[in-house]
Amino acid sequence: MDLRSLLNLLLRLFFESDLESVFPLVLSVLTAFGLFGIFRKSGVKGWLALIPCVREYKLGQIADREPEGRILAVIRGCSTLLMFATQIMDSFLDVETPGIDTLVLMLLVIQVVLALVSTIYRIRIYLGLIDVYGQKKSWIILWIVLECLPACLWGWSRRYQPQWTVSEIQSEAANYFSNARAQVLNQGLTVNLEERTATEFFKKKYLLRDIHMYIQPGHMVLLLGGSGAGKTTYLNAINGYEKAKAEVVLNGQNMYKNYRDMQYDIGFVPQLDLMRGSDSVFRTLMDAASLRLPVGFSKADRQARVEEVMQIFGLTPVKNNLVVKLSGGQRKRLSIAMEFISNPSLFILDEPDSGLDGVMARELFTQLRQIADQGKIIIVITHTPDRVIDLFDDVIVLAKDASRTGRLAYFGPIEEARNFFGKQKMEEIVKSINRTEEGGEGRADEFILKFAEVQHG
Amino acid sequence: MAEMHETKPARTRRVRHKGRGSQILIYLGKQLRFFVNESDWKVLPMAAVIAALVGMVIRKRFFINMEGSLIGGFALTCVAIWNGCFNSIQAVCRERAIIKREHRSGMHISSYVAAHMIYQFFLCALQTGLTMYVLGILGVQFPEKGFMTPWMMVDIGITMLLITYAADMLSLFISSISHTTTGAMTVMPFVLIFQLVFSGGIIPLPAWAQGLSDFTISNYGIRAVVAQSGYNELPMVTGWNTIAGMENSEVGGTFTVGQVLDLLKNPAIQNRRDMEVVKSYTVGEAAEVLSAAEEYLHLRDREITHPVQVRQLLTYLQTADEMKDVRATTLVPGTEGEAPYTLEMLLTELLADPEAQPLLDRDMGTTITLGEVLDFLHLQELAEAASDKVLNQPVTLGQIADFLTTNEAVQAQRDRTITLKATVGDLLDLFGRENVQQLIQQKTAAASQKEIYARTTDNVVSNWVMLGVFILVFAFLAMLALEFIDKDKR
Repeated sequence: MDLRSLLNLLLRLFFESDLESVFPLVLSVLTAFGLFGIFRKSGVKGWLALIPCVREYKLGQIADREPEGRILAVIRGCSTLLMFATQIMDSFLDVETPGIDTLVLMLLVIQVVLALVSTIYRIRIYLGLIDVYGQKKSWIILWIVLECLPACLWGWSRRYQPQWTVSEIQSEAANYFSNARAQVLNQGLTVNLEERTATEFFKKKYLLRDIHMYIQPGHMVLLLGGSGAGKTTYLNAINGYEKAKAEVVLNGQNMYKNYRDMQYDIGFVPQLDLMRGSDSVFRTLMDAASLRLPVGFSKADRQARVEEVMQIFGLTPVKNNLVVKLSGGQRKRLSIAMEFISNPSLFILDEPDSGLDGVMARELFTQLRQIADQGKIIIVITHTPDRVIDLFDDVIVLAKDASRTGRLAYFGPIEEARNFFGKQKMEEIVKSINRTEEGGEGRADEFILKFAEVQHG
Repeated sequence: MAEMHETKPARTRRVRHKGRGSQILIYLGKQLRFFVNESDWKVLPMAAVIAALVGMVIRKRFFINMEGSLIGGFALTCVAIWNGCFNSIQAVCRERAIIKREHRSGMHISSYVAAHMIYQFFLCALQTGLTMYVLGILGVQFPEKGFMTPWMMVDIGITMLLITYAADMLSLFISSISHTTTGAMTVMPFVLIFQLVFSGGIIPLPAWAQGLSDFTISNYGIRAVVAQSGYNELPMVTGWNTIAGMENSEVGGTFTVGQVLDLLKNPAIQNRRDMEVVKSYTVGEAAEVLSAAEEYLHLRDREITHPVQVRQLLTYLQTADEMKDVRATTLVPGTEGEAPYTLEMLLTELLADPEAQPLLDRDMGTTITLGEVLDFLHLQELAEAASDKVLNQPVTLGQIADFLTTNEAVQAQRDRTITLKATVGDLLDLFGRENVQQLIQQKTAAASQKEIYARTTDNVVSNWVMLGVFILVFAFLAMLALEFIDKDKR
């Protein structure tokens, strides 16, 4: 390989161009120069803009589109590998080698597919970048057509500044953890959650951290938090379906260790009415009873229980109707009845009042209150808590800290929550912990730290 | 705040719930209700319509010849794969969230998949039955006697059921790994194209792709159907049809006599040495041919004598070269100093004499036709009397070949170019159409026989087993994929 070939290879690697094509080379160099400035403005080392794959990943991070950045980096890596493969074939393999044309064609097809996917992900990242810089969406055209121009403008003009930077996101993360483990009792629910993580592209991501609480039996608990705070993740973790690094004990039994037996003692009503429309109300409940009730229940017993539950939730008049024909309220009640059929000790409901009017919602929550009064623990997520707040005993407030991890900002009685946050309404509490770009006050870190200190004592 | 004291966990007795077997019945009931109340039943009329469309195309050819068998096998496999794929492609993904909820409530994934397997089997069996019925009423010629069972329709039906069911399980697997119906339906065309293109049936594959066909349901499906149809024992008609379709096409070109003579040594011609090129005719046959031939009837009307004027006769005598000697004939011997008087002189004077002109213009004789002469000779009676007499000996191809290849005069012309032209039809007639057709069909069929399409019990059963393996593997994979349903991205 001569010097010229080596130089071409390096140029292709870094700038996707070569000495022969001067114009694309100039554009690539200008883009890299522009991105250098954008990286610096966002608190990322500028020279990283020159390294393939890293450049794409960091750009995704800057644009608040980290997953897309990661995928784009992988695509870039694959493209580079393909380029090397083609180069090697060009240099070492004879054109007459059998099957070489098929191989080259296949590589070409893969490259075309990668180029298409890459374009889509680039558009996503540019859109994120436009949001970060608070510019109009129409900039996307320039970013797609002539990337180097907006890159240089945004990178080096003082007029264009990012609204937040990567370093801010990392440095403001709340690193204080209470580690105040709630002790286990024979009755009630104890949650000692250290962390709930997910792995995306080999990178560990914290979804929830440092959540410790004890909920007394007979309590109806409101679960509050902004969107993406990890409310559903938290509920899935405490009911044992999606295990976290945690100890969850319900009425003296470790949920994770005895999940097989205890899953019937937990009722989880999902946000959506997940039922088959082709079944009748009665058949839906009979099947739910068959699944959830122990084998000791005879068919007559199961039928009696189904009749009882239908009576409680006002479904008897529509027992023979197909689920698809039910009204929104009836469906919601049927969804709750399916879980209630096994008379669970822990009852979790994810937005049971979504789609219901005020009167119906109130009626539903009153029913839940009655169930709680039978000594059950009820945890409810709702986005309109203030109209039924008098029915709740406690409130859990989850918030995203600066590193986007769900943290406990408060757990305790309703009245104390009002004092803790200095707000009268629950919706105001949510607003206070939401990020500023979401229309909130951005005080999540403050309350997370404050509550952690309270718990730590 | 949580109370901070520790207690010993209570001991509980394990409570038993419905096991896997009982849960299968619960989900089977759900599937049946879904069939009735939702749109699953629509796959049955759809199967009938697809069978009708394909049946109309293959009915004239299936089981009749090799090509028909292969195309029929491919078409039937396509029908089965299509039916199977669309039975279950949305079956799981459309209720993924419900499955997740029910799994959380104690549903066993294995029971759920087993219920699907049972339900889908009956659905596939109904579709196959309908397909076979529609093919039957459309007139697809199934041989009455089967190969594996007493009835061929049942033989093919079993294979169709296995293909449909295997495709169904493949779709069930795709549906199990897809999070949305849109995702599943996006993947579906790729799967169908892969199954059909890489089936290795009627689409020739390059060497590198041949291994891929071992991983397709369609490959084993086509093999089984084609083998059952007795592919290797059927004629192949493409070669003959192609040649017959060129009936009026001209063939030939410019050759040297030597090339033509060398061609006569070709085994194809040598093997037909005894073929009569010119037939032997008796007088009777010739008379029969002639009496029926239009040309002969015209011939009868041909005038063999014409009216002639005296002048024409005399002028002929005066001018024709061949009459030169006659003209020199002396009519009056010459005397001393005077030349003899010859016929030529007489003719000259006569033709110039004004008084002789009316005589010269007079017609001599009358017109006689060939028919009149033949009738006069009583030829008809003569022909009848000699009707068995052989007019000529037959001439065989071998005689012509021998004559041409041994004749010195012909051999001397070897370098001379000649232009030969004939239509394909002429050549076929020369060699005998039936002979050529039989030969081509036999030779092409022999060359197209394949071991994978051998009509043997081992072959058919091995393909059935492979389809069974696909069914089990895809069902297992579907179950495995659903076991991870709780890992779905939130």
